Amino acid sequence: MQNIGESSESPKKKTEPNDTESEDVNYPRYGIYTLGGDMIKSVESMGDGRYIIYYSWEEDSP
Amino acid sequence: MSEMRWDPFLEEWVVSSTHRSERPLLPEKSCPLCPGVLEVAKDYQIVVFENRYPSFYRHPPMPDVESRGLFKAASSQGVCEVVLYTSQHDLSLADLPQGHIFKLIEAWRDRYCELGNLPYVDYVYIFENKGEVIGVTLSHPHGQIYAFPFIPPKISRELAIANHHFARKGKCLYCSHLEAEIADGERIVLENNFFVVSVPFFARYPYETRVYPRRHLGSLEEISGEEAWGMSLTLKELLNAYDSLFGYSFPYIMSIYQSPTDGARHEYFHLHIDFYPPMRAADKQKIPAGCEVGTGTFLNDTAPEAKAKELRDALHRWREKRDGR
Ligand SMILES: [Zn+2]
Ligand SMILES: [Zn+2]
Repeated sequence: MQNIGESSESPKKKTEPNDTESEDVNYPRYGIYTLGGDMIKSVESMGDGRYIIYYSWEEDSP
Repeated sequence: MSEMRWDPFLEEWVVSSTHRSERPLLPEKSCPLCPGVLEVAKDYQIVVFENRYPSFYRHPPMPDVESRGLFKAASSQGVCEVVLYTSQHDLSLADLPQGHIFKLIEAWRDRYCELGNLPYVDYVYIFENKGEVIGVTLSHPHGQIYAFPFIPPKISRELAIANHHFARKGKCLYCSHLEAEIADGERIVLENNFFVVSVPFFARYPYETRVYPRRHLGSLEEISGEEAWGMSLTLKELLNAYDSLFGYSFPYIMSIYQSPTDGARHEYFHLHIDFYPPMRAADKQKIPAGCEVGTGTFLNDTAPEAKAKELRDALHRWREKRDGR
């Protein structure tokens, strides 16, 4: 995961529609991650083959 | 059935998908996007999940039809996500505190990076359809993301032109456009240190606006923290200008255009966000019809300069109310 302000080049193989080699065996990656700005990302299963991602953070106390 | 079919005349894909399953039956008036109802089990701040009725699939079926001759079909591999901006059903993006919009930008950025890294995703398109006139059935504040296995045709055409301009003039076409709008000034709706909003010179819709970062950024991946903060302020102000225009929550299509994720370099590209509101006046719709759909040529029966002034005035009214004047 990167934070806002960072940048990277991520060259990847160009694929064509119908390219059956392009599998995403490692996606989605279930678990909890930290993003920029103290945001927490939690990737979970919806139980029907879909994934759901909760983005959460501490609300500023007034 | 889910597949892409090739239009050999325009040389572009049409995505067909039929969904066998209807939406599960819910008690009347209950919203499937509210916490604990259907899609999201628990309370949330911002949530992203895979669309129940996708046009693209991570593991797509083979096309129903066989490709032969002119008739070419391909499997529709990609990802379709729904982005819930907040668990609060009655709010809109315009109503969210600026700090919350800032978090949404971080979530968009995360989705752009992650989906763009998938080997079969060439273009990550983040958008929102807002309002019943656009055909939105769920009023809960939400947007969508389509991770395309190809660069969509409108964008592809624009990229080729911008790339050519960059190669010939050594300058970004979008930076040039931004400078020209600022120099003219008449069509500027709002500007701050990091972003500028104008009704473009060539607006197709009466209240169309384009949001540019001042800095030459290809995508949200490159945005700095203070730029993201500036973007959240820009969106907050622009959306409230729209809502102040006629005193009701204004419908729009929001399109976030970022660099393709096809592995090639697109240094000529400049992030921008376009808003296409489907209205000509408070109660008159602007629906693409015979000319627009049949020929691709848009007819705009308003002057972009006049519409920009209306939006500036609406923004002024909203700022006065916000500041308690
Ligand atoms: Zn709801
Ligand atoms: Zn530029």
